[in-house]
Amino acid sequence: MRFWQRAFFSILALFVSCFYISIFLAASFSYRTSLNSERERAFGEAHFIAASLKKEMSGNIFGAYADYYKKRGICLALWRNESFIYGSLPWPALEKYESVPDKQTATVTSYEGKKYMLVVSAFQSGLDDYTLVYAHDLQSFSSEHKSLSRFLSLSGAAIAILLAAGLYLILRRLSKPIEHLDEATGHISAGDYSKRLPEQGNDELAALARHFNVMTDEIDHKVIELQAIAEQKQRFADNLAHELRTPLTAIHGYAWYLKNANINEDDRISSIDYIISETKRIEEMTNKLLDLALMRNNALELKLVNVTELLNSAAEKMRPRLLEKGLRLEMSNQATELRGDQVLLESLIINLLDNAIKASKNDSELRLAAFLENERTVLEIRDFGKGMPSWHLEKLTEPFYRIDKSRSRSEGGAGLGLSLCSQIAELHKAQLVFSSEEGKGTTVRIVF
Amino acid sequence: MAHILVVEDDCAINELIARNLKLVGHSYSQAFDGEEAVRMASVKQTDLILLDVMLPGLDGFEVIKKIAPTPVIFLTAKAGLEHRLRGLSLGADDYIAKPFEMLEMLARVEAVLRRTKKSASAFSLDNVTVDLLGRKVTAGGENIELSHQEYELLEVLIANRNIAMSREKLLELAWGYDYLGESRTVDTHIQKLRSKLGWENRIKTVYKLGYRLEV
Repeated sequence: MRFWQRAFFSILALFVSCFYISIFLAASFSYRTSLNSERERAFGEAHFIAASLKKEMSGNIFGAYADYYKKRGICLALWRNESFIYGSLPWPALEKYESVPDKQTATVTSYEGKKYMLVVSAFQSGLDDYTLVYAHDLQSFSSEHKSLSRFLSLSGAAIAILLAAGLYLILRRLSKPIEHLDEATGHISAGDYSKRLPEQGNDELAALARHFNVMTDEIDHKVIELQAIAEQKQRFADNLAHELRTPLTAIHGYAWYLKNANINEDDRISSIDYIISETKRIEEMTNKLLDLALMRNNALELKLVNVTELLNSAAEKMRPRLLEKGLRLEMSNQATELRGDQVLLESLIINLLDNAIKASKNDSELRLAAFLENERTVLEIRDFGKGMPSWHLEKLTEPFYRIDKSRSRSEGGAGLGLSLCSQIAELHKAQLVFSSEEGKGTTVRIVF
Repeated sequence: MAHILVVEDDCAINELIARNLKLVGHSYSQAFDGEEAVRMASVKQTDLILLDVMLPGLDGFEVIKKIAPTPVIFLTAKAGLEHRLRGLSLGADDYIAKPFEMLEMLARVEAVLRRTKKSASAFSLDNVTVDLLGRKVTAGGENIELSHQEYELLEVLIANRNIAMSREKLLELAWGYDYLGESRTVDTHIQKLRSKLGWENRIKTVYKLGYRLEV
């Protein structure tokens, strides 16, 4: 059963029972008060009849009284001591009704489905041995009461129907947001996070809808993020397998060749050289992977680093590589100090310089600059080499990502250099920003 | 012997393939990217191209469209059905998934060359000539009678010359997978070949390995 239906039936049941209980109470109260006044009237009449009888006491006259009153729905009976004198009671008067001297007693009795108000009175002052029984037919009184009850219960039913209709409309309206919520959670549990709830109003349900939408946004966002991470992990695993398999294939192949082939000494030595260099390649790769893993788990102790010293030291280490290709390195420095780890920062700059050298044509220029921008220290490495299309930039720091797989491999890279760089930058809470244009060169900024 | 173009961007693997082709008597050229491959295929008469799919610049699928109809065997790390179908639909003759065994590579090369009638028709060593098409062996002009199984073994040794083959491998290649003979059978057949062809110093016993026809 739906919520609105439950609410509908329980409210309706509660209302109808309360309503009918109050009708019943009102009816029985009115019944009792009318019965009281009926009794008062019966007392009065019985008293009046008894008083009249006392004046002219004779059997004949009583008969005339009885006949007269019978027409008005009142029956009378008279006893003297134990003997029945006369009566017009509708039931056979076999026994004398017990009377209390100087007192009237009233009871309601029924006979053949009809109700009667029965008043027994004893005569006073000298006529103590007479007993008058007065019975008033309550027919009209109870039919009046019955029609009142009928009217009340009919109008009660009509009001209940009216209430049911109103309740239905109100509850349907009130439960609309709940239905929306139900529908939306259904979508979400089926994996569709695009559904949002209408947010009108400012009651609890509207607040719930707002919070629900915020929550769904958050889940949607997280799911997309997780998917991206999972894809990245999958790429990492695929790449790792490929990067390991290539040198292993070569090592296995050369070992087999050495074992089985009929070859001369030169071939033998060069095969062994291949095995050694491929083994070295795997070793370098595992070392870098290990560095990545270690760096991820370690917090750094940041110290003040002199920027001039840092740049000079890095440039000095790259001098042989620069000379090899006949490259000029232009340096400028407007920054003084920054907080970081000297060794890691130097390794970061060397890695970036190394990439810049690889991308540059012989006899061209490189720039290494440090300056302040918006109160932040920026290190910039710029080359005027081959550059790269912009769609590479996003994945550049992913492990094993290569723009040109064979060229960087033939130059000795494992595809992990920039991953290390981005880890180092992250440890320094610095951003690594790449910009590049094909054929014109690449600029890398480390923004602290 | 056939001239084969090896297209593979990884230096070590390219060189490895080339050396194995050289061992069994083929000549080769090497290319390390797509453009180079297209250029070399147009310059020199090539009987077969071993073509890596994942190449810098032009990939293998583009290279195959740009070269004159030459038999091609694709080499690739991706062995998925889709990849394979795409390669074959572009007219490749075979498909080898990396990493592969050199013997398997050589067998596939031999099969494609035979199919395209580019395989050698005869093999000569010392005064012995083997007519590979007519399945005849002569020594100094005189016919040499070989049993069917001896000839099969000889052919396997020639196709994999300069490579030591274990007795088990020889059984598999010359007798077939389902042959249940002992490795001793190989020894007796080798002895017979040695004496019939006078190749006592050509078919070498390689310690702990098996036999090798040295050329």
